[in-house]
Amino acid sequence: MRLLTRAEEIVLLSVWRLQDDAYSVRIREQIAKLTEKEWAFGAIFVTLERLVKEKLVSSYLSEPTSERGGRRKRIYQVTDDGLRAMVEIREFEKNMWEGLPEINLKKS
Amino acid sequence: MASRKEKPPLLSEWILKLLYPDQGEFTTIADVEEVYLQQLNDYGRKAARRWYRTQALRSSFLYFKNQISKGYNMYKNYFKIAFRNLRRHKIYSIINISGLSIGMACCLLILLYVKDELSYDNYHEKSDRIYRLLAISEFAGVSRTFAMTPPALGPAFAREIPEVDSSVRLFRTTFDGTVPVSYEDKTFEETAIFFADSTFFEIFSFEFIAGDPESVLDEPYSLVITERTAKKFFGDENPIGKMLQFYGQQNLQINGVIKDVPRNSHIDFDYIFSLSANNRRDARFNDWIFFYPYTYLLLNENADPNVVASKIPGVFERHSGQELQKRGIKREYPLQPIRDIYLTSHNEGEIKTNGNILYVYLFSAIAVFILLIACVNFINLSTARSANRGKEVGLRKVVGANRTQLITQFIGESLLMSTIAMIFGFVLMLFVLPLFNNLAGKEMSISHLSGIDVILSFIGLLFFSGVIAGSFPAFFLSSFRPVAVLKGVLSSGSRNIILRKVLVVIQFAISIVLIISTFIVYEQLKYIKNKYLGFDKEHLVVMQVQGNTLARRAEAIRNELGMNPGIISVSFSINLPGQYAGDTSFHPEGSEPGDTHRATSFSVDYDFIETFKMDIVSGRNFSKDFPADSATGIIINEIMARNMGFQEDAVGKRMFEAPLPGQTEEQERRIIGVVKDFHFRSLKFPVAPSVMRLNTGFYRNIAVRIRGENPNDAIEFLRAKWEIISPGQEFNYYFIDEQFDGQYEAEEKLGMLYITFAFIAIFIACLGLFGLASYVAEQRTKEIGIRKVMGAKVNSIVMGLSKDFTKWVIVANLFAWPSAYFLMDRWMTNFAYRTDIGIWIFGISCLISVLVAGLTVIYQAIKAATLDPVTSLRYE
Repeated sequence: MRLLTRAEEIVLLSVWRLQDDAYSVRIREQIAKLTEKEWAFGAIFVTLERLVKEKLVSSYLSEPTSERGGRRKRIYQVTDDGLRAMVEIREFEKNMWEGLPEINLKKS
Repeated sequence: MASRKEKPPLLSEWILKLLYPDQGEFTTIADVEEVYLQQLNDYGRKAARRWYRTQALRSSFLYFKNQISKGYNMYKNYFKIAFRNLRRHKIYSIINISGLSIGMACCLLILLYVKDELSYDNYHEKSDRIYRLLAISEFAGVSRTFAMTPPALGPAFAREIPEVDSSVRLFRTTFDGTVPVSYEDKTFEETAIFFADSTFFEIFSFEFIAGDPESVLDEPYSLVITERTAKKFFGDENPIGKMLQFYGQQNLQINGVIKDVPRNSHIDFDYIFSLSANNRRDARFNDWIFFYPYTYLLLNENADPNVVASKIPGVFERHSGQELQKRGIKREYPLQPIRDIYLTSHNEGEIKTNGNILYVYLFSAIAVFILLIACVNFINLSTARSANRGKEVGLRKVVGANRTQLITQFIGESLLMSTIAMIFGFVLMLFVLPLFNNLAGKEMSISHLSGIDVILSFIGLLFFSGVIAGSFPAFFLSSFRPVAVLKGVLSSGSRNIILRKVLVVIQFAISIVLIISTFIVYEQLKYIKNKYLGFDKEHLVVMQVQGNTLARRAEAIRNELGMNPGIISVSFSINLPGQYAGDTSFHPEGSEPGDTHRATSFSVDYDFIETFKMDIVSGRNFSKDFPADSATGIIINEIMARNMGFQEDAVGKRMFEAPLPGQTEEQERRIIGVVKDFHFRSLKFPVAPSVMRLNTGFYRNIAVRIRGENPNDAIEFLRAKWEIISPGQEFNYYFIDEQFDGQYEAEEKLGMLYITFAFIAIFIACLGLFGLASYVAEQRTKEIGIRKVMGAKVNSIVMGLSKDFTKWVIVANLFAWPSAYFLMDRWMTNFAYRTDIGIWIFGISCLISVLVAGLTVIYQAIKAATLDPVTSLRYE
């Protein structure tokens, strides 16, 4: 299977971290916290759509609540394939870093 | 739900909805809105809306990026195929792209033209609140509309109608002829001189270089000039405070300088000065009856012009109702938005000749039609060659392409084509813009092509032509059944042959309409220029003389000029045909009191009728033997006589002239002669009643009839004698026939534009025909080879190939004739005198179109027919 892109990885991990609260607003907040950058909603939507298409996440519509004027949310969940992909990418990262000579950054 | 105030920006929301519909659930929109509401709470409405818009913009970029990267390979392939096709079929590509480029260039030019025509008087900051008053005056059963109004209206309306903020009256100093303006030793003859109320620069927005717009005209006789005038007189010196002399006697001080009046203005002036203290008190400036200034009203910000219009009759009836009734005049003063003046107002006494909204429509239609002709080429050539693309389509379908993808591909291809054409068309437009400016009498530049509306129309044009040209081929090509095409069953498709015929007929019909229209415009121009005006307009020179001393020199000048054998006769007058002349009203003897008749009146000398070679129908000319002539003698034209109910017995009858401003008594006149009707205005208007009276005390014009052989010598002679005629003035002269013909300048331009567009249209149509012919010839290569082997002659083959196309063009003629006839018949209603639309025009247009189409086709036919049968039978 193909390796996830960075954006896909970030979004996928955010969905897993947020669990039941994983809808685009929270995901965007989460990402903003991690990357210190404001992502456009479009970036989240596009990435999520791709993840759904590859069956790494699934989604369902929440029950309407009063807080959003009765409008429903689309909540995302990581599927088993998604979890596998997460593990795979973690392994991959670990392998990539393993045995590298140490990096000494001079303080600038 | 969010209240209206909290709603996110509408357009942005719509874009997001379109791009991220979330399977119709729109939870996406709710998500973005959730954050938006938070932002609204934290940072306020403005910041939140800006945030929302940025989100929408960034998200739509990401959407397209995603779409393209998803289908990257597919799109790359489309491009590759498109370019390969362009390169492989060079002739078709050249035909398509050049036709479309020319069409685009036409559209862009017309876009510039239309934008320019619509921009008139938009530059005033308050332009949406400025209205001009018109005067509709009904008198003696004739209703006329004037751009000028009585001077008392403006101030009274501003005072008495609460919705009117302020008013300004603009007075023209001269209607024709020039005014000498001098500074020290420099003198220029000027025409664009006005005076106005002090509110002028508060209502209109002209850019000031020096002086204060609010107060510059407050002082009496305070002068504002334009930049170019300042340059002309003072170079780089500061003009403020300097004195300019008008008519060699009146000094005015310059208190302000403005930038030149924008070209897209219906008012055009170089000098404007304030009313003098005398003017302000003068009864003539508070008159309710006689037309003098142009009056503009500035309405309140929220005023409804209809309400204002409904209050106007009350005000002027109160002030002048009795007087109007006494004179038997009915008046209306409608309001006219300032922005509509240029395109829709064609009344008497307009400041300058205005444009015509009809021509805006007409040219837009022509541009669209030319683009359509180019699009038809594309449709025809791509469907004709569909067999070539059939295999590709079949293969793509076999590999799994769906119909939407194929349609996308083909429309994309035509969009690519129209983009290339757009680039070429733009460059082409840059090259022909100066020519077009010349033709249309404009000064447009590429810098006018800015602003969001222009960018949008560029994109619109691109998509319009791309989709129009591409959609039919796209739907047609994508409908192929793979089995059939891959087997090679499909030929060029017989139902499309009919479509192609129809399209070619449409193309040629449009072109032929343009050709016929061109002929008719020129025929009409020729007709009105050659029409006899009731006097001999050839070899008549007019010189306009300033000051009021001309009458004293008249005899001396006549003697001096009469010595030259090239000069036949000399006449002095105040006004003459082709110049502005005022109307007066008369009532004939023995008629009811209300029976009054209006006539344009000319004040002339004893030699006028002879010099103009007018025909006296009955009675006699003014004569020195009848001293009473100068007091009461009057010569009228036939229409005037008829209007007043006289038959052959007009001579000797008396009529009474209504009092002029400043007079109270009717003046008695005695008719001494009747002349044949003569035209003194453009032939757009019918011949009108006129009178001539004798005047020996004051002249402004010298009309000289010269011999036709050596007009230049005569002019040189007049120039040499100018020092005697009008010392200190610049030499000026014009020929009456040239001046009369000059009134049809707009029509001449129309003719030029028609000819150009007709040429372009038929050129593009022929390009397409050429492509089709070469395609047909190529298709029938084998057939022609066999025919030749069987013994067919070259000319019979050529005939066979071209017959078809010629037939289509003739059918196109049948469609074009009625449309052209109705169109031009409508146009000719602009003229009171019109030529007959001759049958020969249709004949010759038919001949031209068949000939041009025939020549286009015949080249291909000969090429195919002369091919060695051995080669053609080996073909494929």
